[in-house]
Amino acid sequence: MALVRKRPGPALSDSSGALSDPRAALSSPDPEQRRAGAVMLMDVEDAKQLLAEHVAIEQDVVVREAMLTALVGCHDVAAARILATLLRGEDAALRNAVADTLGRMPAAGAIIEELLVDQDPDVRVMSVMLLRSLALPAVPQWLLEVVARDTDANVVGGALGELAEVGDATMISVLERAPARFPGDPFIAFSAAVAVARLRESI
Amino acid sequence: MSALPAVGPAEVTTAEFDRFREFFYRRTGIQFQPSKRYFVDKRILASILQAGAPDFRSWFAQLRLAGDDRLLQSVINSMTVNESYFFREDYQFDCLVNSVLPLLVAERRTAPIRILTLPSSTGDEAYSIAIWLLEHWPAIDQFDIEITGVDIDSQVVEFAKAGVFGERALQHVDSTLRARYFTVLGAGQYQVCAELRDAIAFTLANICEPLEMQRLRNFDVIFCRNLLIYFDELSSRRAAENLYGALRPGGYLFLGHSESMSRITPIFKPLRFPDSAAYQRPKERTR
Repeated sequence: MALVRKRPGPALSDSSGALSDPRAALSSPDPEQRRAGAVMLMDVEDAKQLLAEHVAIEQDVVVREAMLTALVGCHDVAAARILATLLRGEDAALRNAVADTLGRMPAAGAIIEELLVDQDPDVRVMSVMLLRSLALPAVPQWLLEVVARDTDANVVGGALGELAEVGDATMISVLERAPARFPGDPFIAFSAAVAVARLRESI
Repeated sequence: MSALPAVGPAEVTTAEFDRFREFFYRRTGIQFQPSKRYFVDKRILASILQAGAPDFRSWFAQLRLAGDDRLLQSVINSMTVNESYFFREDYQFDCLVNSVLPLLVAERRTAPIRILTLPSSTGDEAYSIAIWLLEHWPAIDQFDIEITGVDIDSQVVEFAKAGVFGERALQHVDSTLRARYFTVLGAGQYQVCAELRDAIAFTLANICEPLEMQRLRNFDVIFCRNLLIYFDELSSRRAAENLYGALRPGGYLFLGHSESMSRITPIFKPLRFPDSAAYQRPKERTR
């Protein structure tokens, strides 16, 4: 049994790997240092903007995930605004990860109305997607406004899908009018019918 | 007439329960649903009495004082679940021996193999792994193995170090193994032999706390079973980051059978071995 060996003074008290400056570590050439920096800044509210800036330039997906995890629950509107710019990027994985994170940032509530009227329909689609997890009382009303006014079928289709989950019976008339705004679009007709049926069930 | 004996409040109000669970969640990552109200209330009332506080308000103020770590630790100890027994979900130990260790030793012939279990609770899992390796891994004589157990509950860490268990914990340990690795203390109590107790390190840490977890590095295998199910999404993601940091690149992670890391984060690679699923910290960075 000698081969099951306890380290003399287990490495648990060893703090040699501790980061002295987690903010500076975010700019390290070593990805493990950058990841460790992000993890150490999880509870540092005034580092959120810096973290968001580094998400924008970070190429390593594991480091980026640590940075995004550190931003979940964040109340810093400036950080949310920086992240939101990434919804316009070419990297689909990054766009999805950012939308997922924004949906879990209370600060996103302060900018979501701007995002929902963005000129870029792809940004509006992602914004509807992040409403799924943004737990704010105004979410159903924001979605309803998208259904009533947006001109892009993908955006409206997404909003109809979400309203089927979070809407209520007072919204049915707006939903029923949606197919008329997209004549000949079977996707909108189908999504509206499903949402209306779901909301009727809840009466 | 003598003074009235110290008695705490008779009940915890819903507002007090909510305040406590919010505070407890922030400190530990553990979230109590309203369905756990009875469990939590009972322990709050006991702690109020034990602390000699006249009411919830004074007790809660005392609890939140950064200086009074002992009260907070005792509350953490009472609120955490420590149900465990030897050889629980042992198919994962088969996986360790049959699949994971051969892969690890094929890569590294000299360095010790480091295994972490958390939450280690009273030590059942850490001792189970040690016994399992001694009994089932033919190559054990050729390698040094280090096993470390970590828990948030200081009381169970001390229990684990003492290595004393009752019949219930040893229900799956046969008489041969009991004779080989335990000393009978009497009254249904058994103590793990000194060689094993000396071989395994137990220590205190909170999996959600980066500062505490950064001491844990370069493990080859981590068992973190039936813990993440108690966490909400944010705490799970934070715990996952800390587990990732504790593993060396290429290291393996075992979760409980009902838990899935893929639902929490994409940073681990899911693996399917004949005996069990596991996760791996990728050896190479992904860009």
